[in-house]
Amino acid sequence: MKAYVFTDKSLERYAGQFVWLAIDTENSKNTAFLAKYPIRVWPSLLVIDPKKESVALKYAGGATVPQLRKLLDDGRRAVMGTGARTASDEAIARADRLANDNKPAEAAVAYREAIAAAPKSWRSLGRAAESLVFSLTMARDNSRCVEEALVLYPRVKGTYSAANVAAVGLGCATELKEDDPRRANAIAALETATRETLEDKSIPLSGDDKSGLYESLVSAREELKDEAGAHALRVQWVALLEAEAGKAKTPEQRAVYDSHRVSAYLALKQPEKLIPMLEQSERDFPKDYNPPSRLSLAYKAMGKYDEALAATERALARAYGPRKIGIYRNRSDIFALKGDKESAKKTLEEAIRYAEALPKEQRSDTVIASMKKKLETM
Amino acid sequence: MRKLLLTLLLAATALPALSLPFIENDYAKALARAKAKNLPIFVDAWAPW
Repeated sequence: MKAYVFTDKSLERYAGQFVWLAIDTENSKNTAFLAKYPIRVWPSLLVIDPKKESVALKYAGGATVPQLRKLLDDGRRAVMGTGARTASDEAIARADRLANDNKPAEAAVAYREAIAAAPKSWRSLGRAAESLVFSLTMARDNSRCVEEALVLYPRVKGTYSAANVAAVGLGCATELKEDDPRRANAIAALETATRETLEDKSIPLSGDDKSGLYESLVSAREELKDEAGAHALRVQWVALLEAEAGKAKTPEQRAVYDSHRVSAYLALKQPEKLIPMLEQSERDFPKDYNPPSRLSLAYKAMGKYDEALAATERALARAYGPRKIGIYRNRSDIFALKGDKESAKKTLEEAIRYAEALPKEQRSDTVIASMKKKLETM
Repeated sequence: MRKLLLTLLLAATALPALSLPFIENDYAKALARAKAKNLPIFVDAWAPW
């Protein structure tokens, strides 16, 4: 959003209507904020009522400029109490607070209430539909997630919200048990919905939104073990990414597609294609750990372990926060692939020490336990 | 699925000139300013990946 959205001049009229806060969740300076407003999806957009220090609106995901304008208008109305408030407005605000408090099942009930009570042309229907489906996936209620996605998709079809309703619903459908009689039809219907949204030129989807939809379609084909179908989609996905990156006007905009291209080219087993673009990003952003971290993945996939290790060293020197654990783990894996078991073990031990020393808001017991379990096998 | 969402929502890697006056990584400062000016706080919670 920094590369494409917050730079948009049309947002300047909102400048004096909010206090604007950017929170890097990896930065340990933000632990007090994270204790109060836990973040589980990146980015997350919040509007906070400063008097109550509570969430007035929380949206899991990025936004295009028109979407952001709507979120800002809704958030301001919720805090300032301007405009007529309906039962649905109250219910969605309650649902957002429950979602913030990590109560996704209760949040889903409140989002459903908001939708059920919605007046005709309720301005927040799309956001409520997206948030409902998303809360159900967070609550691991795949069955209801699929049901709601199938019911809500026709209501949000042709709008930006259709993308998340269809794609998140598709993810839930693939996670239904393989012997569930609804699974095949649900996947087919939500694949069609995802594809339809991707191809609807009237929806102002961003390039990375479209990439996310391709990734979702690829994952569904992989789940169905349809390798030919998955491959055909990966080829289209890469074509989209190259076209979008080619249109970028700044290095920041081009770099938005780096991580997408890493996923797509690694899935296509063409890691060598990544080297020039990632080297360019490393030159453009010499303090950023992402380009060398991604280069290490490409070199690892190419079997060039020494180059991969050198890249992890540069990434570790620039990284901070929980993300650094992933770089250590990757480095440990590269040592193991190279046959250097001792260094692999030492690096994983270093990762565990680092993870245990993080502030509690950034520490993940699950991640630490998984590393310790792996260490026992080394 | 979560991977999808993360990818859908990837942030950029560096800061170009912003049109909006963001306070970086200082909730206390934003809160004090919002209370003083009676304005809501907009938060972009992001991660550099």
